[in-house]
Amino acid sequence: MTVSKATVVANIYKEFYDILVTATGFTTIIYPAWPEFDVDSKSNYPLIILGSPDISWDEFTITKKWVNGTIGIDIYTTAANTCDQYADRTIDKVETERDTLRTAGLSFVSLDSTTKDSVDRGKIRVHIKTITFSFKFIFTKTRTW
Amino acid sequence: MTILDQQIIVNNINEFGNTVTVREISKSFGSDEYRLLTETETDHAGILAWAQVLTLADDLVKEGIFQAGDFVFWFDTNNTSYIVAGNHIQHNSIWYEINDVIEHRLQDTIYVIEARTKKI
Repeated sequence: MTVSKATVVANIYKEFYDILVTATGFTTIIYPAWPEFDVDSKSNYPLIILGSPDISWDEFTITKKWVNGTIGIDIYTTAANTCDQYADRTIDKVETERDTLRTAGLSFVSLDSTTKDSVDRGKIRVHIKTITFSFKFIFTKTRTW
Repeated sequence: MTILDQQIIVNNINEFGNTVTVREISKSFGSDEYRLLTETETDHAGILAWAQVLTLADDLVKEGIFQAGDFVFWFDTNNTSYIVAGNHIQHNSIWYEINDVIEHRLQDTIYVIEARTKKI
């Protein structure tokens, strides 16, 4: 699949989803937002929330623009070591698939940052790792002159 | 709740109960990238329940959790698998969503089921 100007957000989301879903243990746990079922037991975890890409435009050339974007991946687990393992799998998967993303039109895919937190949801200690990747995409802009 | 209280409720279910329709809602997630949610509704009609309307005098309404006009439905131990939070109950052509389910037990045996609902 190639990312196009008309479907930047949806296509970039799908590109990252298609890559991550092939990582070990990720097949059925990726959601676009907090899932619509009761997450109230340890068996509901781990969860991966793949956020919608955030983008902005910059001038590139007279006829083209850069799309500068970031995409966030939130990992929810019930153990700290599992959280780190899933984070490693996520980062490694994106890194090894950078060529696939380049073929789709995404360049300069890079790991921007990671953050870690933990909260208590009822009697469950939930560990949360947020991973942010940045990317660029070039498109031909609509002429106004 | 005492043994006598529960027996009174069971008597009320049998004497003054109405038949309601319980709509069982099951959710399944697609395998697409957006994991689109599909809800399947299965209606179970003719279930006997004693319906209690909540008024301004009730503690549940005073605490602000429920509003006057919401209902508490009492069920006996038949068809208990349908009485879960999230499912809907139709009473007098009005639909209510089950908010809380409380199983009243006597020595670990469920005797009556209280379903607190909000009008949809």
